[in-house]
Amino acid sequence: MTECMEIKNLSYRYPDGTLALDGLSLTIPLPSRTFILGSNGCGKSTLLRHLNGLIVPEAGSVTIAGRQLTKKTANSIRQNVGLLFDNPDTQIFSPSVAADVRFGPVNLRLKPEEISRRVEEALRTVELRELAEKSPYNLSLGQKKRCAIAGVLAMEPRILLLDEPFSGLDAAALRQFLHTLSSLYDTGVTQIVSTHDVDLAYEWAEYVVIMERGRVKACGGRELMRDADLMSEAGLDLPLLVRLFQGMGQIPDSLEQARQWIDPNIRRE
Amino acid sequence: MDGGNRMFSGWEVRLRLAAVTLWLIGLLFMDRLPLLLLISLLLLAMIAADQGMQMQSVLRQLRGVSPFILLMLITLSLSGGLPLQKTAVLFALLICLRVIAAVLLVIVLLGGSAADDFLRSLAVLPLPPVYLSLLFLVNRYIHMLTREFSLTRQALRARLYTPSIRPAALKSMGYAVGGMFIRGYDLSEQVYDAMRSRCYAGVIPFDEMTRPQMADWLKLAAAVLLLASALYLGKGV
Repeated sequence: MTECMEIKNLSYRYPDGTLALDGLSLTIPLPSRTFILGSNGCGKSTLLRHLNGLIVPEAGSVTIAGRQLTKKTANSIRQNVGLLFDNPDTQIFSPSVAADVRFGPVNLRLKPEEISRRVEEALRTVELRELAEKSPYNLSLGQKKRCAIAGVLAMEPRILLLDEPFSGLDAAALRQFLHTLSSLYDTGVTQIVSTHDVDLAYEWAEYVVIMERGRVKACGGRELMRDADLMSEAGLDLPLLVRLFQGMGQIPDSLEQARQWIDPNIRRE
Repeated sequence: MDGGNRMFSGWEVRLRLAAVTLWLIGLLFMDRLPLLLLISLLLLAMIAADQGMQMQSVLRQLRGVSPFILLMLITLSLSGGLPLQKTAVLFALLICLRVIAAVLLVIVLLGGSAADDFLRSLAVLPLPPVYLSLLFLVNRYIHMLTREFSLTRQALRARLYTPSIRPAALKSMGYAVGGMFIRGYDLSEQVYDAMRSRCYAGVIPFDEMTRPQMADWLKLAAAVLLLASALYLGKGV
């Protein structure tokens, strides 16, 4: 049987009365690169917090690879499901990059040699080894994000939850960040990304979940993102590639494919 | 390896703690003014020479305790009433010099080493982990609040705020400080969540430190030898 992450009838209301999740049900295949799309306030971050066990379901259930999330299992589930917060400043709190990265492995009570190995490996993956002893507060936003991801990677999770990971990154930092995510995906780490960046999602997603007002509006392959009505109802724009090729019969899956289609036409002219 | 002289700051924290504790006890048995003065000056010189410690911050710490030392000097000198008695003044000087030497020793202990290292060295001692975790978190939150304070100050400056006692300026300052504490509280909640997401379960387990090197043991031996010599000289031989 294929492993999956199963969410059934999940509801959550914040103490101020805001209903963030409203009977949400969803199955995410593992491993996969899943993008959760939706406008601001649709419940994406709350859902990710449930998947990491920061919020234990009060109504409904979350089952990850056969294990149901409860107060008792939350800590052991967190060892396998890492969460990258949207704002790295709230995730990084240690005086140096290396100290922050080692925080998770130390909590796992690993042997010192294993802790050192994981810290070294995580810093190497995100290409921050040379900044290991620097204060994380003095890093650029892109470096802070990579530092935060190193802190999660050092725990060697099987599933990585990324909350708005691309916001605020410039082109170079974004490229480097995507390169890191790509190499992680190649090692079999499932990535569940919450974003409203439809263009990136269209290029990268294998599985797409579209959320609206605390519920799943639709889920499936990236072709969902070609549905103008669906996207509009969820408060999202169509991806640029879809807009560009709309009404031309065929819509490419990626920028690369679009270029291959366009190139011969240009040459013909 | 770090270049330059790092006599204290490069010293393994546990052995440094042992040496400083011995010296703090030793100070109680030293009652010769010139000896205490010499020790204080020697410590200050060695701290100044240590490239891992910032002399400015050392002087700032000394300046911070100086009002208390001065107050102690005045009250102890007056303990025999007026006019000043020589024995009372000498006693006051003796106590003050001991305090200065003790402060310098604490600077030697804490200066140049990361708070984490110091806490890890305490974790080796049989201290309750909850207290150590509390110290760790207090240290982190102080850092974060300091940073928040600095950001608030920058935000005020960016909008041409100048501190004054005008009601409007005081009101703005009140709003800014209030906002800073609310943000600080909010940030601490978010950091707590971030810690929980990395398997923090109420107690910070401090991982083992690396073993002390030969040089660290030699420094401890030298410290003990110097203490013994100082105590011997203090006997008035």
